[in-house]
Amino acid sequence: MKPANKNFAIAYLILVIIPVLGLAGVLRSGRKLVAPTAIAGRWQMQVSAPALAALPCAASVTTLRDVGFTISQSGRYFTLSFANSVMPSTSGFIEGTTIQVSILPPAEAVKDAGCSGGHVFSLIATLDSKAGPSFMTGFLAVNDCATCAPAEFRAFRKN
Amino acid sequence: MLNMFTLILQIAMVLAACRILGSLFLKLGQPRVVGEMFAGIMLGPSLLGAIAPHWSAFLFPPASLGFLNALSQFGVVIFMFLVGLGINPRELKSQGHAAILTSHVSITAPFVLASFLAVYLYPRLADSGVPFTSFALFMGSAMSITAFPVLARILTERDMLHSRLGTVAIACAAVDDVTGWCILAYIVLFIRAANTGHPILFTVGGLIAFTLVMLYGVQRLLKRFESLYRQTGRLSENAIALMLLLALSSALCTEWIGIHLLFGSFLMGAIMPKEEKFVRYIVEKFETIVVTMLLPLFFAFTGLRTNIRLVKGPEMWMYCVAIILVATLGKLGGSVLACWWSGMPVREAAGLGTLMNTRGLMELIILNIGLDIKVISPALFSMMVLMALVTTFMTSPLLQAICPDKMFSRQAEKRSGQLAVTPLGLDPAGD
Repeated sequence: MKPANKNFAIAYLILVIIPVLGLAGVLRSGRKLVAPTAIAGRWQMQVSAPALAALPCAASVTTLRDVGFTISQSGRYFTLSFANSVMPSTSGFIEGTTIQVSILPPAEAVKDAGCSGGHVFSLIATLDSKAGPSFMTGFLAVNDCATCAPAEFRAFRKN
Repeated sequence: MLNMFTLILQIAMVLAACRILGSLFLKLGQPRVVGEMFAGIMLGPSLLGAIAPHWSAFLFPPASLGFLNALSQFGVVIFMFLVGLGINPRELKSQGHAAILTSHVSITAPFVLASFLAVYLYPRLADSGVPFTSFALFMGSAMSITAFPVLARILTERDMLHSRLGTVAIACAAVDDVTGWCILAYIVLFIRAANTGHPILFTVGGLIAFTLVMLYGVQRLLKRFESLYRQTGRLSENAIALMLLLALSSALCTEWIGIHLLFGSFLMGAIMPKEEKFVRYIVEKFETIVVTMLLPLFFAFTGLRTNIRLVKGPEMWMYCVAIILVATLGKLGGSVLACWWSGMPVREAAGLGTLMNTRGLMELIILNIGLDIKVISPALFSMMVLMALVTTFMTSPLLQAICPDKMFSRQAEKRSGQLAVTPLGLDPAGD
């Protein structure tokens, strides 16, 4: 074999063939990895009406006991936007089967709801492991109010 | 329902923004296409949507985007036909070991690094609907792609097309693109089969049959176009219309068998006759409308899907920086190493690595397919678009620093009346 060809063969082995074998190994071992549950799509949320009414300033998030929201997911992170709401989309994250979102209603919505000050809300829900990733149950709570009872809700994915 | 006022307004706004930004970037020593990519981003939620949401909602209401998308996809179908047309397998053969090694390493290096990065990103930026293999392969093919047309334009503008560096770069970029598209076809095939229940055997069988018919049947017929051109020095309007019809039919075939529109048009371009003057004639016939009108619509549509505000917080920005570093290290580093090993001087090897790191429009096309088939998430899409912008933007200044113009002036003087066979928009002014 000519020296140039030998050099080419060695280079090809080191720079192409071995990395391709490495790639096959990565693809094989990567199959064990688990990605966050897919939750993107349109959801329909049903909130307990008396609980929602009792929650201070809840009207700045939603006035409806049956409201839709859309989730746009990027792995662990997602944005959630309520239908029929002046609320801008808000960010959250998913950890295992639990999703968590902090909601800070805009001043405009707070004013419309007749609230004196802004509250930060938390929406925490768990995906129903028995029913699959298309159902979740959780609650909407006011962060800075220890005495306020959270409003429970359940939601199902429409598509 | 189609609102013509909105659609025409959108087209006008997109064209104006792309021409202005394109000209501005030309003045900065960048190819026009980089400015047009930026213009697309600016019209989307990352800038216009953030600073003037009402204007954004008025100009680009969600219901109207389907029409803009249809027009832009039509443009990309024709563009991919021209990209295929500009690829000549003989160029690689004539470059010997350096080009073979460099082209293969410039695919495997970013591919392998991207798969390692995919191990890290998969639990963070993917969801359970995407299998790891598809995610890793997509990341690999997206990072190993080279913007063949942008690279050709940069080489022409810098008078480097016929230098050793230029010819090796063109040959390698052609191999990279063909390989990248083949891998992408594989990913699309499996994702679509899983999501839509499209029978995979039908798709695989259909693809093999389609490729054989194209290579051994249609390719022979296409030679008639070249002989017609040789006889008269031009092609009739009917012949041009027939060529367009063939490209569209080929695109429809691959879409129907479950791959993607773009593979068909690319393949049709790739099997066209490669005689230099013929290729240039065809490119000139199509490129004006594609480059000046249809591609800017694609940039705008991509920009409307790119939301840089989704990349928020130090963690997300760290992923973004990691993507840019891995893409650059794999493509630039891999190409430099292979070239240097093949005996090319370090400076020239670095120049070639810089050129291969140009991703531009081809990257955006691949990323849009990835977002459509949901193999990448919206935030990852935005990060990858940023990576495409950064790697394309850095090419010209880095190349100027590594290989100053004077380095190639002697080679340029030696060139006498050679025609450049390059796929798109190679006027040195970038117009």
